[in-house]
Amino acid sequence: MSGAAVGLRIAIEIMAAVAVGVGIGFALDNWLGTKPWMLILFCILGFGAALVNVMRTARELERKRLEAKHLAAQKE
Amino acid sequence: MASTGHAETAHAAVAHHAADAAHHSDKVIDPLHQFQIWSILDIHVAGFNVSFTNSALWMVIAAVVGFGIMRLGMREAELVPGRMQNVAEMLYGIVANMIRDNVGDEGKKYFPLVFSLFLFILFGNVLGMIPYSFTFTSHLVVTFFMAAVIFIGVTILGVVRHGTHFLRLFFPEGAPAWTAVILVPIELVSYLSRPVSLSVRLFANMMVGHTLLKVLGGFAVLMGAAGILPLTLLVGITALEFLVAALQAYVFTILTCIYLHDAIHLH
Repeated sequence: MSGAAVGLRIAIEIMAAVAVGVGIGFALDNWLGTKPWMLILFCILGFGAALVNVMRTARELERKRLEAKHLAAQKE
Repeated sequence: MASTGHAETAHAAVAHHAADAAHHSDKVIDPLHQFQIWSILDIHVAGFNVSFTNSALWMVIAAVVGFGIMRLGMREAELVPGRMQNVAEMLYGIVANMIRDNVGDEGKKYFPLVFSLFLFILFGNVLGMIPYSFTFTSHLVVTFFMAAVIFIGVTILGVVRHGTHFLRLFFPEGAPAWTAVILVPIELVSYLSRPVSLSVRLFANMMVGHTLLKVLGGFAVLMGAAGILPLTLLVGITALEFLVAALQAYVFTILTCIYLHDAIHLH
């Protein structure tokens, strides 16, 4: 995977988590009439989830890189 | 006040000029035109527009081509495979290995689903590279629908297999109980963001690539003799687009496998 592909992947992970957080916050606010507290809360939770997503993705990519390295070393 | 009025007239004049230029020149560059959906056969059922569109046409073509290639490849299985059989076996091997590595032995049951998904997306992406064709994977509705079906299916599978134990997915083992207040909502949002990131990744990659191709193509037309520069670039980008088309089909399927794994084994 090239650097740009990794960057795009991580950017999409962040965007998706924040978008879902904002969406949930907005919907809860409309439903419960608690404007703007749920939006603020779920914005923060969304960013938290984004960090979790990015860490998982990075860990997975690192695992793959090490596996590929291991395979290459075995072949030699 | 006078200055804003002046700016407005200038702005209007520029807009008018641009519209004029676009009107008079037959070389109108519209890189987004390729994503337009039009109806081939108008069908209205109970007030819903379910017309057969160009998008639907290319979905049918992708499904038929995928089916046809597998059918042709398996027509007569020989010990020394011919060309078509080689292609069919390679496609089968890719997905079979992917499921074995990412889901494990229990994943074999889901091979037909994952394999059809892979073929459908792969041919959707690759057939979209034919000039004047339509890439249905460059529409968020299509990719989000596929991702949502996978997400809901995988969640139901997890709940059926593990019952309430499935909720462990939202709380890492060994963490102190009081952290649940923060961790559970975060994990929940992270879990719900899966279909969004899955669909946006495929959609964004396909749309960006195809727009870039058309923009560069537009440069090649507009620049006259110097258009040779964007044209050379276009050759490289086209090759890259084929790589992206195959890679994104692979990534979509591999993530489906990872979600299946999570539902079956709970991390």
